[in-house]
Amino acid sequence: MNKPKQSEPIEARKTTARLTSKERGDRAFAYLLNAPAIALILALIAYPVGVSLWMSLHRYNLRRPEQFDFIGLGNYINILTSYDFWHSLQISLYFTALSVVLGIVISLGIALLFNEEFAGRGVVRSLLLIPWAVPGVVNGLMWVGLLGAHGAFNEMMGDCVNLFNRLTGLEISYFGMASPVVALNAAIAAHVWKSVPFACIIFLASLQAIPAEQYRAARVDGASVWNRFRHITLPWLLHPIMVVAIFETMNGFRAFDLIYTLTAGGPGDATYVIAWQTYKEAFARLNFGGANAYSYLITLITMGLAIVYIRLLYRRGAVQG
Amino acid sequence: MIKRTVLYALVILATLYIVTPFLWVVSVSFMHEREANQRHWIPREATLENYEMYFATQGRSAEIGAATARQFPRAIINSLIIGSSVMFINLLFGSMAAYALARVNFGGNLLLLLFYIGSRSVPGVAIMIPMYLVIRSYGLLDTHLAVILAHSTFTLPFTIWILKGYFQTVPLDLERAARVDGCTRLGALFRVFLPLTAPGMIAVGIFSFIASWGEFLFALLFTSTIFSKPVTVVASDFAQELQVPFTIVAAGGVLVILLPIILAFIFQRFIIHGIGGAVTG
Repeated sequence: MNKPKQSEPIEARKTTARLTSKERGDRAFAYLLNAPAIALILALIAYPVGVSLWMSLHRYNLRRPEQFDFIGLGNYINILTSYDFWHSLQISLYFTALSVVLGIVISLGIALLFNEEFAGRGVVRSLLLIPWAVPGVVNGLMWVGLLGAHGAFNEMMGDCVNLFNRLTGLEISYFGMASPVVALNAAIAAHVWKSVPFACIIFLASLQAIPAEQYRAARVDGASVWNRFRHITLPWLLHPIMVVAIFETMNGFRAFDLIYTLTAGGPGDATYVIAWQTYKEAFARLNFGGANAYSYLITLITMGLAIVYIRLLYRRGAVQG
Repeated sequence: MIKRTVLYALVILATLYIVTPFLWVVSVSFMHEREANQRHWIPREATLENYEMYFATQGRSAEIGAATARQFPRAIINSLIIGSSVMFINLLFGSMAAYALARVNFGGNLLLLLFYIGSRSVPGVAIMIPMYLVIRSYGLLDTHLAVILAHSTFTLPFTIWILKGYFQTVPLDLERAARVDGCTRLGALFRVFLPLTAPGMIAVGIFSFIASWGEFLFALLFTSTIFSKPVTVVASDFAQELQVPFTIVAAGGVLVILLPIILAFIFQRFIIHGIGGAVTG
C-alpha cells in the first residue's frame, strides 16, 4: 500500500491491565461490530472445516450410514494410492497452470491496449464487464453451444483443421468436444475467457497509477518502446501480476461450475478436475469419509500454493520498497 | 499512422474476443432452430418463440426442455430474493466489521483480517459436505435462508477487505467534528461517515449481488425443489438434457445473464474503481 494511512489512530500497544476505560470501550465496540461476520464465518466455515477433518478420519459411506469407524489416515492412504486422485491432480495442475499463464498474458495484453487513447475507449472498457458478469454455469452452457455440433466456433475449428490439413498434407480429424484434448483445452479457453475482465481491471488500475513523468523522461532519453516497457511498466506491474496469479490459481483449482455444464468430467475422465473428483466421490459414490479427505488434500494444496505466492509477493514488495 | 491502424486493429480483435461468444448466444436465442443449424451470425427470421418457452408455454409443454424452461420465472424470483438478501447482509455486517477494522486500533485487528481472508482460501468443495450436514440438521434444506447464509459467508471477507480500504481513506477528523457537535458514536457512523463512503458501499453491494446470482455449487447442494432453486441451478439442468435445441438454451442463458449485465453496465464505474482501488490502494 502506498497511500499514507491518515486515519489510523496512533496508539501504542498496551496490555489489558493498563488500558483506559475508553480504550476498553473501543475494543468492545470493535468486537461487537465484527460479531455478526465472525459468527457467520465460524458457524459456516470454521465449524465445517473441523467436522470435515473429523469425518475424513472415519470410514463413512451413506450407503451404510450406521458404520462410522475410526480409521485414522486410512482414507488419505487410499486416496494417495489411487489412480483417480493423481489423475485429477494432474488434470487440475494442467488446467490451472495453463489458465493462469494464458489469463495473465491475455489480460495484460488487453490492459496495455485499453490503456492507450483511442476513440470509443470507454465503451470498449465497459464491454469488458460482460464475461465477468456471466455466471459460471451459463459460461459452460455457452461454450457447449459454441463448440457443439452446430456451434459457430466448432465450424470455425473444423475449417481451420481442414485448411491445416490441406496446407500440410496431414490427415488430422477433428472430433470437437468428443475428443479429450479438445474438451480439456476448451474448458481452459472458457475459464480464461471468464477470468480476463477481473485481471484486466486490476492491470488497468495499476497501469494508470504509473506516473506519466517516468515515460516522458524515458522518451526524452530516447528509450525504445520495448525498453520503456521493460524498465518502467513491468516493475510497476509485478505486484498486480502476483496478486492476479494468486487469485487465478485459487480459481483454477476451484473450477466446478464450468466443468458441471461444459463437460461433466468427460469425455471419459479427461476433464476430471480435483473439485469435480471430490464432488463425484461425495455425491455419486456417497463416500463421505473419503470425500472429506479429498477436500483436505485440496485445501492443503491450495493453501500451500497461496503461501508460496505470498512469500514471493512480499519478497518482491520488500525489494520495491 | 501505421501505429494507429495496428492499435485499432488490435482493439477490434480484443473487443471481438470479449463479446463474440456472448453476442452469438444472444443472436441464436432469436433464431429458429433450422436457421441456427446454418452458418448465420445474424438471424434473418428473428423470432421470439424461444423466449415463449419460458413465459407462455401453452401447447408446447411436450417439447424437450420445456420442463426446465417453465421453472425459470420462479427461479429468477428465487435468485432475486437470495441476491438482495445477501447484498443487504454484506452491506450491514460488512460495513460494521470494516468500520471497526479501519477505525479502531485494537489488538485483534490483523488477526481478524487474516481470519476473514483465510476463510476464503478454503475451497468450496472442501466444506460442502459438513456444511450440507449442518444445514440439514437445522432443517434448512431447500430454503432460501440456507443459500443466503452460505453466500453471505463467501462474500463477507471480500466485502470487508474492500470496505476497510475505502474507509481508511475517509479522514478521521470529520467524524471527530460530528462527535464534538453532539453525535453519538453510532450517529456519526450513519450521518457523516456512510454517505461519504457511498461509492464503496455501492461497489460492494453490486459485487455481492452478482456473486450470489452466479453462485452454483452451494445453491445446487442446498436446494432440491423449485421452491428455492435459484436460476443457476435450473439453468444447469440444460446440461443434462442432451437433446434440447440450443436456441432454447441460448434464450435461457440470455435470461440468466440479463440482470447481472444490466447491473454491471449501470454501476460499472463503481465496480471498476472498487476492484482497482482495493488492489492498488
